[in-house]
Amino acid sequence: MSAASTRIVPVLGVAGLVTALIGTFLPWLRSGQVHRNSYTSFGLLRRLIGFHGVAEVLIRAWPLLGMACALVVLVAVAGLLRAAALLALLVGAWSAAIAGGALAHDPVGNVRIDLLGPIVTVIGATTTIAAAILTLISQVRYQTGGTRRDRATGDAERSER
Amino acid sequence: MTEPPETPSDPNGEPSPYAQPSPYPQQPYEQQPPQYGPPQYGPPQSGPPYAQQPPPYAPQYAQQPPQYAPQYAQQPPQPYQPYQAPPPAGGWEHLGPPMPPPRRNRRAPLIAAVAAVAVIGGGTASYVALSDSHSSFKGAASPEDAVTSLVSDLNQADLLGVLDHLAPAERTALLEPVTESISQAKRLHILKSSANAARLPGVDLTAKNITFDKSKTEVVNDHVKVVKLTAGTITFNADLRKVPFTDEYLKLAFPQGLPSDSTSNGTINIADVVRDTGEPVRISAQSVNGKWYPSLLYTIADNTVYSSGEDNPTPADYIAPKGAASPEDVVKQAVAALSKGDYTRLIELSSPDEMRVLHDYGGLIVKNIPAQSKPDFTVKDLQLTSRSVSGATRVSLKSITVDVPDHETTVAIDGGCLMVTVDGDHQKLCTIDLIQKLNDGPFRDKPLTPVEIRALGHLIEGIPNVGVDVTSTDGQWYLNPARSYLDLSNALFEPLQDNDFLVLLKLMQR
Repeated sequence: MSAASTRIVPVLGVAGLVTALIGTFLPWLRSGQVHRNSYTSFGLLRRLIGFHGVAEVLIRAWPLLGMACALVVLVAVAGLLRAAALLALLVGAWSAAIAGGALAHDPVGNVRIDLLGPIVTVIGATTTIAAAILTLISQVRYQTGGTRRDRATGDAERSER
Repeated sequence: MTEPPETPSDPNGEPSPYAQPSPYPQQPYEQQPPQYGPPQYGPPQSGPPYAQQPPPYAPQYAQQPPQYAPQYAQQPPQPYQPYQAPPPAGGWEHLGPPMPPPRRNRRAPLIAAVAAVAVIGGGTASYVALSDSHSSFKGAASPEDAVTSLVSDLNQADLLGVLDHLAPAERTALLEPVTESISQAKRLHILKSSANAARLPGVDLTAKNITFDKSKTEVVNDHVKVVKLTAGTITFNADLRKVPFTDEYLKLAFPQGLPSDSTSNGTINIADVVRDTGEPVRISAQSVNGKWYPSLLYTIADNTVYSSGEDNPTPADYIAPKGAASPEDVVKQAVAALSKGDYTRLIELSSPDEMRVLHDYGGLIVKNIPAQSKPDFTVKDLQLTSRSVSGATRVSLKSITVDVPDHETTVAIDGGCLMVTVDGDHQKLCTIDLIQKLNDGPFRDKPLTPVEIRALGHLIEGIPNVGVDVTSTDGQWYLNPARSYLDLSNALFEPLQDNDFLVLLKLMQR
């Protein structure tokens, strides 16, 4: 990756996280003339119908998405790039799964999915996943290159002796 | 993200190619062993913090041969004295050319700012999200406000909001079994996977311009009030075609296609109703923990009492809840009360959460039960079993011996078989016996197929699952009649698998 792209990737990652997070506060569910964001929608649906299995776990933890995004940024600024990329990958997959799942539901009666929120979240999640993958690739390349350099340096030192 | 971090430490253990050797000596001179002969130049190997180090003249040793080293060699050895260079006049900083100031991490404030923004932003987002996810209708300050809020949801056709407005105990009692029924229907290929309880598929309800007369609010007791609607319209559309039935189910249930009257719609003008009946439309609100909720059960009870010409219940009509010590015990006491026609005890045993309305209207209910409806049987023995179900405990029958005049009957459930003893005449009825009887009787021409036998077997397995749902309040166990009723089909159909229901439906059409 070029120097310019190495600067763009973290910006892309943060932009993806912020976009996904903003998307969760946009309308997700419309019942009659009332629009609800993802948190009020899931809170209401959990009380009324409940979720089960993996969906229950993912949705119960959904309000912590903001903290998860913050954690990704904190881990990245602490210099733990690989860990940050892996965490970003998880956060991206989590939000993409929830938003994608919401988009897959058919409208019934006057209760229907509002497209704006889930679509913005999917875009943000996809961007985050892309940035995380690019970061992981660059990390692997960097490490592989470093190992070769180290080996070459060691060989040179041995021949001098 | 791919740029190296400014901080040299890497907890991941990843070697940092940007790590710089420290330009400072690593140990104070006072702690170094005496160096005879040519002194060591260059950076030392390890070092304490800057605070313990002498001023930065060390690198100069590396660049300039020290002048005192040869003197050591020429002079006789002296007793060991640690070398302590006298400080030059004016302090250490004047020795040699001035050193550049230690490099400061210019990006540290930026990193700190980014971290702070991330923590504050993420924390705020999560705080708002948590608040939103718990932002249900938590009751209103007055019954009028509770009904206004409900009407507001109706005006906006917000069915989810309407359901969320129910008093908490009612919401749990009604919605949990309905949700389970819908899950069961999806599992058995009756409904499509998109169906759910909150969407009330096929039914649209909208209300417009609903108004009520605040001055006419009626007080039933300290926790129930009746709000009166005076104007507005309620429009409903019910369309069976919109119910998300599966194609397989529709083909079996409606082989000729859906009937023409599968849709129904209409508008109720409340003002017309008020004019016709001479009374406003009554909606009851219930107070729970100081907050008011519109109540479906109290509204039903109030309208029943009102239409029968009775007065509102008085404090004398209140029957206090009095539960039992265990799930089985509450059902045994209920059966005993029923056999004696003791309806007061039955109401006492009803859940004070789900059936608070029964306790409030208890006196009126008992007073209106006809005397001749007293049952004429005695339960001699009752054996029960209980198991946990979603949000309750279900008590089911193991065996019962009932005495009716001149007859004694015992029914016991033994695995997939029913043991029936009538006046000493014992009979064992198992699934295979029932199938044999069906094959010898109505299905003689076309005996049951293995798939049909299996489905029928599963249905019979469900019979022992049927029971009474009970819950515990303040350490005592109570009956939950509404929930038990709504859970009947759930219990019966629980053992059915895959296409069993559709197979049974087809069997019924033979």
